[in-house]
Amino acid sequence: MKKLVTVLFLCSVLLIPNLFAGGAAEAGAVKAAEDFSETGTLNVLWYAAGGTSGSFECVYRDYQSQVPDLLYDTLIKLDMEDTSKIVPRMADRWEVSADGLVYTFYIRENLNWTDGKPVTADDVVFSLEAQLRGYGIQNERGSFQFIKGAQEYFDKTANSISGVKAEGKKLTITLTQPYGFMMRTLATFVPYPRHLFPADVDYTKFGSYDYWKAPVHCGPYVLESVTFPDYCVLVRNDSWYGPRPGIKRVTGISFDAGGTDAAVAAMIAGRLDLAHSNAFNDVNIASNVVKQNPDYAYNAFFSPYYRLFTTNLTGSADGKWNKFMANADFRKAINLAIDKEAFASYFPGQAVALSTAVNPGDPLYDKSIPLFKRDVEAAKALLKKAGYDGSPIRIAYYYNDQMHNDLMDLTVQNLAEIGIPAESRVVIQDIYAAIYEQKNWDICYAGANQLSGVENYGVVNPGTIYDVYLGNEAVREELFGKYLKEVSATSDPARLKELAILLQQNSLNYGSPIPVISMNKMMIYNDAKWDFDPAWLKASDLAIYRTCDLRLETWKLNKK
Amino acid sequence: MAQTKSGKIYKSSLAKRNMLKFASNKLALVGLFIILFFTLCAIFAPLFTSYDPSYVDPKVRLLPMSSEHLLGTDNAGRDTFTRLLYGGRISIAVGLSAALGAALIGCTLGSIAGYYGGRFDSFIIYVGEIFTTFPQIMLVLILVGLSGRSLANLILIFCFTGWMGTARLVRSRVLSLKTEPFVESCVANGISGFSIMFKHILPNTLGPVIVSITMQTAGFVLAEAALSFLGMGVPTAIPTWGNVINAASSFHIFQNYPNLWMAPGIVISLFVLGVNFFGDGLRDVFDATE
Amino acid sequence: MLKYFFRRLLSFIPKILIITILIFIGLEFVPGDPISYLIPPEQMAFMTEETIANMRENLGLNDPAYIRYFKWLGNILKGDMGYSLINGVKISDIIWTRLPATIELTALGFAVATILGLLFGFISALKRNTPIDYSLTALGMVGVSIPEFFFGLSAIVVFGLTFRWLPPGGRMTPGQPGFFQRIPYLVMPVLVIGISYTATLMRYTRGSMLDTMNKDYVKAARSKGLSETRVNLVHSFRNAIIPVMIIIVNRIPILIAGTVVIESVFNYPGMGKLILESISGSDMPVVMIATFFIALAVLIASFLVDLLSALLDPRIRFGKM
Repeated sequence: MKKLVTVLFLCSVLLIPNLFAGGAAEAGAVKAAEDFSETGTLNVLWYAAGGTSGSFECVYRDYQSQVPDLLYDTLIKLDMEDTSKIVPRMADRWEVSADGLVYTFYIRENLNWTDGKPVTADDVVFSLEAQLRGYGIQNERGSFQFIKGAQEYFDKTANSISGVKAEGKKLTITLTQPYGFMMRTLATFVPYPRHLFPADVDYTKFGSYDYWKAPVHCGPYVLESVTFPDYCVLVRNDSWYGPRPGIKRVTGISFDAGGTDAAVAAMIAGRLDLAHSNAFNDVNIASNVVKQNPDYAYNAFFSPYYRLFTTNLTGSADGKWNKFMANADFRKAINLAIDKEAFASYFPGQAVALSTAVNPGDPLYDKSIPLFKRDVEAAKALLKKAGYDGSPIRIAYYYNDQMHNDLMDLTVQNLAEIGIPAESRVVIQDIYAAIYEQKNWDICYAGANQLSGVENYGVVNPGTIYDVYLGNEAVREELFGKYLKEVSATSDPARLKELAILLQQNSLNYGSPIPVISMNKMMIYNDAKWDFDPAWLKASDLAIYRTCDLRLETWKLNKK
Repeated sequence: MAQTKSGKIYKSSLAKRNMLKFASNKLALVGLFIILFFTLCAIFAPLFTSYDPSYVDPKVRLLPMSSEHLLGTDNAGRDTFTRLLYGGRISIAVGLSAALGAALIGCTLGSIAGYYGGRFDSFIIYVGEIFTTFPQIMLVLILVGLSGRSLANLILIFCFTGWMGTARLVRSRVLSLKTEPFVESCVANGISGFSIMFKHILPNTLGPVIVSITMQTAGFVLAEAALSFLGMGVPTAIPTWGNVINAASSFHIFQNYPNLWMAPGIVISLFVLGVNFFGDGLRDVFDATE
Repeated sequence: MLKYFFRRLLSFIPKILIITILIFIGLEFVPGDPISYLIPPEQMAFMTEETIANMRENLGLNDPAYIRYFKWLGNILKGDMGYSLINGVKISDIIWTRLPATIELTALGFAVATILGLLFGFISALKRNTPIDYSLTALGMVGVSIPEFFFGLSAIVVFGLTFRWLPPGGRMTPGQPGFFQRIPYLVMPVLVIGISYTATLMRYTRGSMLDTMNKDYVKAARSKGLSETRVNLVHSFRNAIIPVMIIIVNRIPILIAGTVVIESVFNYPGMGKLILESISGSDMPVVMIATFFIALAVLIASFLVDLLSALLDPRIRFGKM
């Protein structure tokens, strides 16, 4: 008896894994026999919680991987070589009124979701509503504030967005003011099928609907199978209207937010062919992959992304705020004391030390402003001018990796050299409350990622959260606000340049925010396995944010 | 009684006998030597190096091993050898003080539970059982999330999550000692329970407790390193062995600069190994005297 | 026997309740405002404070703690474990994709480590004070002294990247989800997770064996002329294993705790990694449920091993306890 029980117990311990393995395997097992040989499949990174959470994510949440790009479509896309050119996608034609306020899109007559139901303008309206009221999918919400009635709908004082009309395949969007980035915004905005969500959809739980376990879409690829939390398999969508993609099958291999190193290891081992996300936005990672596995190559996309010290001009919850932060000379002294070149040296060939929020390689950069040079003596002189008394400042930052720990130690040291005692603290848990409510810091290291370099000044735009610590409202409006409003409305390149120069000079005089480095975005790929249109490598980082047409028809696998 | 090499037999105190017994255990001696070596290196760190363990200098980052930088420099241009020396101070202090703290809690609760028994006993046992249901590292992770990363917090959390073993140990010893004649005579003489517990019984349980403190020190040094690896340990500005090894936490550094992680890895392993050898030797000594 | 079984089973329920309360209380105090993780900081530039206040209200983040506890507990009993604050996915969905991976990893690690630990301890005791004993003991010492993540990373570099014998991480090759196809992925994490467990068990088995081998009944058995194998296996080993069982039970939480580190190192999508991600993402509902399941797993595993040791212990087997 006892032996029997013992044997049974041991057997059960050993068998449990098998049982579970069977369960996990179910979804993909049917297709397992098919060709998964190296040459037949492109393995791309399926990033963030997308794969690992047991459900596909709202597309925005998963914006760092190619999987949603291949599954979903947008109304239009931009041409990757000339982003002022618009490529028709779900909408095959459109009209923009002369005053720039009314956009009309005509969705392709024969366009269907992968479940066979036709795509209608109403689906787009539904998705706009989800963007405004849902959470976790608010990518374009900031830009959609210019749609008429969007604010009322968001505030729940209206039951629909008055500026959006759907009639069959025809969609009309009315804006409250001209908005220069409207088309660019719509190029990233993904519509979802309304008929697969309940009529009384709860947008705050948008991510919890069963729809996300096997989403229906209308892009160039369809979801063939998925095995959470490990991988998903995409194959070409035979009924897609566009040119046939060159690669038959794409596999998304999931890695979560902490999985950067694991993904790097997978690339070195040749198991992951394309990684293209913020987590790999470090030239050291990319060059190591190429060094360890020469089949791979990397490319740095030009990007308007930059890192900065935001400044707290108004005080903190604990009362330990350094009152000198309100003094522009003090802020300028900090700006000159920080060794931005050392920051940039951590990312050779990828980062540039900045004088203004605009990358010197951007045509909008104000050429009259010299490139940044650290100047301890000038900083000390400014401190003297400010009447600085030696009171300490506090630095907050939220990149919790060793490199940033080191960089913040360096900043503390830099400030000590001009006589400012400083301490730095990583904000792990509660970024929102720490940065925007308690504000128990004087400067804060952050990243800003906008649609263009000049929009980086959006962080000082009145009405956004950042403005709570930018000090005097009238000053802010005078220096930034009125120009920024014009920036978002204008589409005249010459005027944009003038505005950009004004903004850059004003921020320089104001000493806030303190720009540190611009960073190009990295893409690492298996060069020996994957061929694609080389134009992509010349495109800017906009391709990452699913703004551009990726020319999937030019992708092919090498017969190596 | 102990016998020297010359064959001369003489009477000796218990402590002396134990010492000799310990000295005859070569591994334990090696352990003691390792512990002393690392501790002294840490204490007298400034004698061995002229660098500042926390001075950041990006111009000299990731230098290879050389006579100037014995173990090279890390990604912030700090001398790794120097950081290892200074890191030992904090790591050993964290491990030891947490183990002592945990033992203090464990001894107190264990002896009270064992001596008074009854409801209080079952309560403490129950609490201990509940505590052990949560794997320690998860408790620590949650608590670090709760209280933030700081040296003092980490030590307190280790104490708070590490007392159960000692408590169990002390309780069972107290239970058996309680029936010994010397305790009964204490009771007959009207000595207070508190006094009997802590003055008369507890000293008799110290042997195993010291062993458990030793072992826990090793465990906490490892735990500190693991937590630093997970980004939840001591604040990174403070050099500890865990933070030194973490300088190689990015894969490209891990692969290309083995000096940055091998050295602290070997130091941690060696130290823990030494503590374990030492603890084992102590265990042998105390076991025999029981 | 049956009475013992039920008594153990009954003691479960209050423990589980206390555990839920503890988890809830502990996590209540975590100073993370989950709202900050709904919005990437880089996007926050475009949001107003009002927007954020609205979101917080919608998510029920403003209720008092005890109300949220009972709501939470009630929902769990109904099988509704709430939603991840990060992506709104049902927590039950997340758990069901993660739990099997961890059970598989720890069960295999447990089985391998127990077998190796008992075997090495047994050999070590039989060959005591020989080079085999010394080298096994030294190996065991090294095993408990090297940090697990250090072991794991080194293994990845050597076997995963330099020789490329084994995959450097993950759980399966796309399209090959069968158990036997996944074995290459399991080799490294299972061995690494079992190292310190093996070493500890080995040590205790050795000690316990040496104790038992000196007992009179073993000597008696040997003097009866029973074969050496039979004496060692049936009389010594079986009795020596009973105290070791206690160690096995006590160390289960440590084994499971190892998953946090090992799963991170090997990018193995299990519960440990989930907890770590969720804590750093301030996704408290997920942390609560995941920790609850881990504690539950520890309870169940201890119960099973406890039962097994009861079967081995004649006093319990014959209903005396």
